[in-house]
Amino acid sequence: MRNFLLAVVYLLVVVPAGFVARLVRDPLDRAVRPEQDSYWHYTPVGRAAVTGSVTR
Amino acid sequence: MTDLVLGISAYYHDSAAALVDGGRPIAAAQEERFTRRRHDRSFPARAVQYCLRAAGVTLDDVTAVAYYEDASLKFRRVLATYLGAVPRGRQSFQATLPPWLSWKLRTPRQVERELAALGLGTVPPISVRKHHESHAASAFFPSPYESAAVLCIDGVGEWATTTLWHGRGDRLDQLAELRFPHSLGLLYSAFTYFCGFKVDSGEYKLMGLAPYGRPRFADRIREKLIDLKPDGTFKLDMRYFEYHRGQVMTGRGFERLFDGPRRSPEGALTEREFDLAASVQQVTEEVMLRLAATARELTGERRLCLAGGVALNCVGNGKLAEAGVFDEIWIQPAAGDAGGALGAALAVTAERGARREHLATGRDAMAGSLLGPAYSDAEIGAYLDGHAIPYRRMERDELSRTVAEKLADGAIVGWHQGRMEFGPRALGARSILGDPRNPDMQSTMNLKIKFRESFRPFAPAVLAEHAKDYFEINQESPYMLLVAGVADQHRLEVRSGGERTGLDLLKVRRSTIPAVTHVDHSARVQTVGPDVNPAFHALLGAFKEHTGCPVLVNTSFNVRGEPIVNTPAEAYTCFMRTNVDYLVIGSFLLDKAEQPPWTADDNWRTEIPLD
Repeated sequence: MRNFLLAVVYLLVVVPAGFVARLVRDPLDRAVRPEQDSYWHYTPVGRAAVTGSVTR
Repeated sequence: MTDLVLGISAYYHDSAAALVDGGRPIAAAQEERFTRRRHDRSFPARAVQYCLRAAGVTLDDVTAVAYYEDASLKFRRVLATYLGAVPRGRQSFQATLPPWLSWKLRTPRQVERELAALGLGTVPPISVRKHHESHAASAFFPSPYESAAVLCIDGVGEWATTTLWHGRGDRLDQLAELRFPHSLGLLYSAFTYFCGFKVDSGEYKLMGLAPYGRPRFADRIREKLIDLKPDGTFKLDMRYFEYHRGQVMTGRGFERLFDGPRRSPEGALTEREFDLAASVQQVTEEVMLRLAATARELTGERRLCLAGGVALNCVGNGKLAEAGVFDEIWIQPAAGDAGGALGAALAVTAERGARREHLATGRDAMAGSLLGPAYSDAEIGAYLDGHAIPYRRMERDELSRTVAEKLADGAIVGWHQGRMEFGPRALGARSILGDPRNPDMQSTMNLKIKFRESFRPFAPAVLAEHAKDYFEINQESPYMLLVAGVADQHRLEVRSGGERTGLDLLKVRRSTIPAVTHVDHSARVQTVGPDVNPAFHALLGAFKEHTGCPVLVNTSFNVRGEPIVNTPAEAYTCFMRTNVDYLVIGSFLLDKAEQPPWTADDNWRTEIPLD
């Protein structure tokens, strides 16, 4: 039963949402970009490593 | 004790716990060593218990718990992956969503519950770190460098798959990252899977296989699978991979590209697997070298720290060292996810202003990575006497001399001394040792001791002061994470063998230390100094004195598929199950010929899952 419900959610929610998302911007950024020199995502200056959050 | 922070990594693979005191690691261990399940992913309850016991404290004395990755950010990546993969990926969605919704999304609460269940005091606040932050902290903070570039390369944590950092003093800043699904670690794992080995486990087998092959697929990988930029950044062509939409790594596109279906696990190894291994290894090294050059350029640093699973690729590390992009390289010995426990704790202590006091010593803060449990002679003696096990007890000098003589006579020795190693390598605390000059030693150890594939190479441990006499190495390699060539003066002229290929290459003697010389004349070197493991250093010294050779074969004290032994009882069991001739535990020497017959478990090999 659980698998059936998950399959329904996948087909009715995830699939349409995925297609719409990909029309706007590929969530996995798969496109190769020959015009770019680099694929780095640079970190904004001043954002240090120690950025964890205390949860309780 | 100043400021105790407990680090935890769990629920993926290689769960571990680490305890840090004011920025100094004081205890760390992987859960697998206690549960005896290789790469155990469960909550590291016994590793936590060990760490607290080693420090003589309870959770009441611990000021924070650090968890090594951010589950909520990881879940967002999982959701984005589902969206990106539609209409494929339903089965993966059905299999992985329920655990995310039922508990994984609330991992910090789960950690809190599991810690509370230990009954070891009040659980302190839990600080969630990012996966690559944990790796970077584990690479830089314990390193011996005041400042350094830091590269972390692995499969994936949350989104990041490769990160570049700049460490200066007590500060560590992220400069840039590459994101999932574009991952050097997952590219390597895809080939590991395709060649019939287990993902997150068999990558080191693929690395060991590479020298048997020719990199004839390397150009195909560059043309079809990876768009590699001059600065080492890259994207993968995801049409050839399945890991972002299913529960396998590769699919039909990959099969068409590489001439047929994947090798079945335990199937025969063919020329194709050798060549695939050589090819992906070559591409991996190329990426690592370019990334390192970029790290040098962006930071201006002359030293590099490495962590992440790809940093366990000691062949790639060796190429980096050889290329001279950096003056020196330091690699976190627990570079994989187990080390994330340590890194997360170090990130918290750094945030609180912990000083890197070890810098004054000129050494790293890892204590030789000997951070695991130790057993006193009293405990060992009680175990041996309790089981009526025959032994001889000796002082260290006599023990070193005696064991060195037996090794020189061709004996294989199990060596259990002091604190257990943290990380995947045996470094002379839980090791099986042999004479590297013996041309039969590699096949004997592989087939009769470790019960593993014949192609697997063994590593040499060498006295640090003689390392350059035997190997082409320009820096220390205390954690067996750098591969270097055997020095010219120890190479032998190969009269026949030029026409040999594949596993036939094994039959050629290539150096004066053939048991640790791989088919390409390389060796995964461990340099051993006198400070961190005096007993092992003394043994190497005694072997040098007796034979003139300062090198021993050093392999992990286990059999294929089993975690490295922890306790004296596990060492004794492994000793009796295999063809190891002598066992040294602490000050005690055990001779196989004097032991009572071993009848405890005739079917033990069927009970250990293959790795």
